Amino acid sequence: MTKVHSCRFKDIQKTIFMDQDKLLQIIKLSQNKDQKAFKKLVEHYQSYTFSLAFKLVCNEDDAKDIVQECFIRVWHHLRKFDLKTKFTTWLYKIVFNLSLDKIKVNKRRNNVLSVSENTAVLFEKLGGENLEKEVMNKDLAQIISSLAEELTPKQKAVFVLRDLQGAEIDEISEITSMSKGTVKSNLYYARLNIREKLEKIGNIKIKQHELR
Amino acid sequence: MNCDNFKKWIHLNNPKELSNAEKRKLNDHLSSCTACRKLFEDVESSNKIIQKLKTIEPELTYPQVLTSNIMQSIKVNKKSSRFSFTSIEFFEILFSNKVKILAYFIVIGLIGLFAYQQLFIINKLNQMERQIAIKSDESIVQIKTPVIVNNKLLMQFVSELENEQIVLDRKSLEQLLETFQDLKTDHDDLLELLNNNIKDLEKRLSSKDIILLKKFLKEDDLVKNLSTNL
Ligand SMILES: [Zn+2]
Repeated sequence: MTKVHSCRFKDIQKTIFMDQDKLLQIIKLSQNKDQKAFKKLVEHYQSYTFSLAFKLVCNEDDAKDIVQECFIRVWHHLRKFDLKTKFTTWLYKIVFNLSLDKIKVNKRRNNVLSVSENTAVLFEKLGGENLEKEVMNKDLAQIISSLAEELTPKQKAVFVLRDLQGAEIDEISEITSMSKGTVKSNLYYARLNIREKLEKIGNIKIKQHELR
Repeated sequence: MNCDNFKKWIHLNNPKELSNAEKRKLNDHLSSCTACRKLFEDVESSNKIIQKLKTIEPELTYPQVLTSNIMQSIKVNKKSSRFSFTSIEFFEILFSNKVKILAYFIVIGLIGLFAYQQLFIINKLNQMERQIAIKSDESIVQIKTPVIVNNKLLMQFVSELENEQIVLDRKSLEQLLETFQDLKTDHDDLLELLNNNIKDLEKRLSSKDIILLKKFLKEDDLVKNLSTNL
């Protein structure tokens, strides 16, 4: 299983665990409108930000728009950021709000990706060993959006944050402005729905032996 | 506890989502309930797929383009904000530290200016008072000059003196007497006028002033005239 970890994921991990002193210095400079420092901040966090936005809105162009809008907001509101708190939580909160707005707009436009017969094929890829090379952005968007198609935007957000981005319950509560109890019940309904979906696709039973 | 409660716990079967006590209760139930054990296994399988999904990251294509777009848009925003503020930006600028400091300086400056103005006015008034005082001296001195010395002016002067509009001090008196001495030969009528008024003048003169006056009265016509009156 460890072989599956893609290079892209490692890059993002490196980004997340950036040296705290250096990060604080960059943030402080950016708070004083230092464009060079801010560029560093963007370079360090844009893929991290893009990852969450992409998994929430399941669309590359929309996710890029969100990242851009997110950093414009960061530039204008960074003075409000409390240096004692976790920067990524603050960043995620902005991405979460922007993504939720986008999801609502897309839902109104009925732009949701429909689950097609090749969704099952995509899920079979998840059982394979060399998926990093096979799963394209388009496929990943299809997988996540089909898994989460019946979820409310908040359930989807909690699922993505907890199960795909590995955020803690406390942090999710902070990002989504929901109580821990609400986060947990949203998470429960999301997982319940997704599991039923996976069973419906029939992927679990086919792949069970491969995973074991 | 029924199976529905455990159903929720099975889906939240993670050390950070369930307490140790809850985990223990769940394990106890799983060992005795086949339906829940079946669900537990299904959830485990589902979790494994999700775990795999977690390792897949979307690829951010052309990251440099995105960075430069972001940098471009903050520069554009910065430029345009000089001319047109959104309300939020306006309030941000209004309450920013720079503006606060500027406001402090303006207030302190205004207070300083006000204080300076007050001092300036007081100073100016003092100066004017002094100038007026000097002028009133000068006005008497000016009697010396031939322009001022005519009947009308002298009469006016004497009447002002009588009405106490002009108060003579010692120095002024000396000057007055000097003036009359200088004038005596050329302006007999003026001297006469003064002679007519000298009684009124002497009423207001103290004994010291009379002595001083006498000092100036010499053996000419005027002096005689005056001294008889005194
Ligand atoms: Zn049970």
